[in-house]
Amino acid sequence: MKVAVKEQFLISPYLAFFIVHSMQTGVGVMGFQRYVAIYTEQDSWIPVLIGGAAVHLVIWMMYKMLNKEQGDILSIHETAFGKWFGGFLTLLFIMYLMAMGITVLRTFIEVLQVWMFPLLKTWTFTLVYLIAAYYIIAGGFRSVVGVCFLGVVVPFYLILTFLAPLEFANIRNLLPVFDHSMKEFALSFKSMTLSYLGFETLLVFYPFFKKPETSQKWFHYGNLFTVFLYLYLMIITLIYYTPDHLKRTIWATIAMWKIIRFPFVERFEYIGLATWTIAILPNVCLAFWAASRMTKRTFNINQKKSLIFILMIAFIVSPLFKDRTEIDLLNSIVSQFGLYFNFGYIPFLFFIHYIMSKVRRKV
Amino acid sequence: MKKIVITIIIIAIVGYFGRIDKEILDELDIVTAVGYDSKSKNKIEATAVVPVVNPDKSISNKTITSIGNLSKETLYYLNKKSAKPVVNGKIEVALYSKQLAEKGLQNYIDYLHRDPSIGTRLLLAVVDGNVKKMLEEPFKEFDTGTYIQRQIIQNIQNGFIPTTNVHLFLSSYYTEGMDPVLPIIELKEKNINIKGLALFKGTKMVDSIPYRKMFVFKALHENIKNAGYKLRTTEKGKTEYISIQGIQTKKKFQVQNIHTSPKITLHLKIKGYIREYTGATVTANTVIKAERLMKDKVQKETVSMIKNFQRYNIDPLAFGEQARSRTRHWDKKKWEQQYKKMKVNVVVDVSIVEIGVVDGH
Repeated sequence: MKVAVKEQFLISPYLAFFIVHSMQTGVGVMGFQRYVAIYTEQDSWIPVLIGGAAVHLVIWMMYKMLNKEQGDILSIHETAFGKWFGGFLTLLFIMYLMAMGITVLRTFIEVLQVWMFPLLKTWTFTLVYLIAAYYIIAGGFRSVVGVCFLGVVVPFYLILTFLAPLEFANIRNLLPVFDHSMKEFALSFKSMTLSYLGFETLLVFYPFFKKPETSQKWFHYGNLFTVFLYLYLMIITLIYYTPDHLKRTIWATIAMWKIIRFPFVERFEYIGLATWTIAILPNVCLAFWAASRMTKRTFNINQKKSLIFILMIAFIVSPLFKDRTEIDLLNSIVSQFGLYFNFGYIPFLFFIHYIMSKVRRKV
Repeated sequence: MKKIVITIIIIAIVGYFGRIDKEILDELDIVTAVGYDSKSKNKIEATAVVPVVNPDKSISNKTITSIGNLSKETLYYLNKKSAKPVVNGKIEVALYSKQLAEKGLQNYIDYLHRDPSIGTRLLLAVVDGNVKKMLEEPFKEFDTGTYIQRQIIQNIQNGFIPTTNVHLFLSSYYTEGMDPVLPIIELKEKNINIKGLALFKGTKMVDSIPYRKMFVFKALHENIKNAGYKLRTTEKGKTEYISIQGIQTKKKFQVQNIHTSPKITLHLKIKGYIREYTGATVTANTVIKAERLMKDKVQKETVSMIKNFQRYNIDPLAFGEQARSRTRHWDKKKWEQQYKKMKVNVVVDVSIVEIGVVDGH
C-alpha cells in the first residue's frame, strides 16, 4: 500500500546519511565503552565491528520490505498481520518511539546534573527543551532533518578533542587480541548493539524521500560512519584506561575530557556538554516526530494535536525518574526493547511480510 | 495575542524556577592545593590553599584548615570556616603526609575520582613532614599550590620524577599487574625538595626510593626524553666527576617461558652527551670509560632495585602488565607466586654521542 507524501515535503536521498548518524549517536556515546568492556575487556573493539555489520543487515531487510511496500511500518504491518492486529503492533511501536525520546532527554539531563549543575531542576530543562522540540517538529519533517544535519556537523569538532588522552595512552592495553570466549563476545555484542539503536525510525520516514530506493546507499554510509566513530572512541578509550579502571567509569567518553586543560578554560566538559545539547536535539525531535506521525497515520488525527499530546506526556514522565538507578533502569528497558525489536522482530517481520505479500498478491 | 501571553508565562516560569546558583569568580575561594595530615587515630586534618590576588598584583596565600574523619567531610568543614564558598575545580595538587600514605590512601583518593569537577591531570604527592606547614609556606610569583605543581611538572619533563597524575595512579591501582608510585617531597630551608619516590602496594605506601636512584627507576619505568646524570671516577688517585646531559633512554621488555617459569629480559638503551668533566681532558678513552662506568652502575642499581621490589612483592615497573599482554588467559594468582622468584635479566647499553664544543683541553 503506497503512502503518498506531497512533493513539497520530500527530502533529498543523501540526507539519509545525516539522519541515521545523528539518530544513532545520542546519549549512548557518552558511556557505551564500559558496558561492552565488562565482558570483553581489551577485545571490546571487535564487538563494535560485529554490531555495525549486524545493523547493516537489519537496514538491508528494512529497505527490502519498504521498497516493496513503498510505505511505512503501518503499511507493512497491515500487509503482514491485517488491519487490526497490525494497528495494535504499530501502537506498541509508537510507545517505543516516545520512550526513546524521553530516555534520551532524561539521560542527558542526568549527565548535566552530574557533571555541571547539581541543582538543575529536571522539569525546567525538560520544558525548555520540549518547547524547542515543538517548534522544530511543528515546522514539519524538513525542519527536523535540518536539525539532524546540524546535529552531525556542529559537534563534529569534538572528534579531535579525543586525541588529547593519547598523551597518557598505552598501546599494550590492547593485547592479547582475541582472548575471550564466544559467550563473552556474544554478551558484549548484545550490549554494543544498544548503541546503534535509532535507525529504526527509517520505518516511519521512508516515504519522505524523493526516489526512496536511492536513499539506501546513503543510509548504509551513515551507519558506516557511526561504526567508525564508535571504533575510534573505543580504541582510544581502551588504550587510555586499563580494563579494570574502565569498568568503574560510568561516562568514559566525557571522563576523558577531564585530561584536557586550556589556559582559558579549566574543565573542557563545559564546552563539550554544551555542544552535545545540539547533538541530542535530533534524537529528541525525530523520535517525537516519528511518534506523532505514526499516531496520525494510525488514528487519522491531526499531527499537531497528537504532537502536543505526546510532548505533554514526555513533560510529565521525564521528571518522574529521579535517581541514577531509575534512569539506568529506564535505559536498560528501552534499549532491551529496541534490541529485540531490531534484531528479533524485524527479521521475523521480514519473513512474515515476504510470505504474506506473496499470498495477498495471489488473492 | 494568545501566543504572546503563553510565551510570557513560559518565560516567567522558566526564568523563576530554572535559576541555578550563580558562581562569580571573585566571590569564590578557588582551592589550588589540598593537603592531609594524620591528626590522631581516626582524625585527619585537611588544609586547603586559596590564592589571593593583592591590589598590587602580587599573589599571596590563604590557607584554611579543618579536622574531620572523611576527606570530603573535612572539605565541607572548610566551607564553614571560609567567608566565601570553597570550590574544587582548580585543585592542582593533593598532598598526603607519609603517615597517611603508610596507612593507605583509599579513603582520600575516592573523592578525587568521584567529584566530576576535579581534573585528571591533578598531581598527587607524598610529603615527608608536616603538610600544613608546607602549604603555609609562601613562594614568590605563584601561590603554593601552583608553585608545587609547576615544580613537579618541571621535574617530570626534565628531571627524574616518573610521569604521574591521578589518572595514571588510579589505573595502576585498579590494574592487577601494576602498582602505583608517587613522588615524595619535603620542605627544606623554605624550598620544596624532591626527596624520592614512594612505592605503593595498592594504596598503601610500603617502601621508598631515594633521590639518587630515581634516574634508574625512571629509565625502567618509561622512556626518558631529557635528563642528566652524574658519574664519579677515580683517576690516578684523584676523584673526578663526569656530568652526562641530554639523556634519552629506550626500554624494551622480553618475556620468556611465560607459562612455566617466566624470565624477563630488560633491554635499556641510554644515549647522552658529556657536558662537564672535572678531569684534565676528554679523550676518546674518557668517553669509553664513562660509558662502561655508567653501564655498570645502572646495571647494578637496577638489579638490586628489582630484587627489592620482589621482596616487598610490589610491581611498580608493571612486569605483570608485560606478562599479561603477552599471555592468553593470564592467571593473576599464578603470576603472583611466580613473581617473587622470577629471574630478571638487565642488559644496559650506554652510548655517549657528543662531548660538547670543546675537544682535547
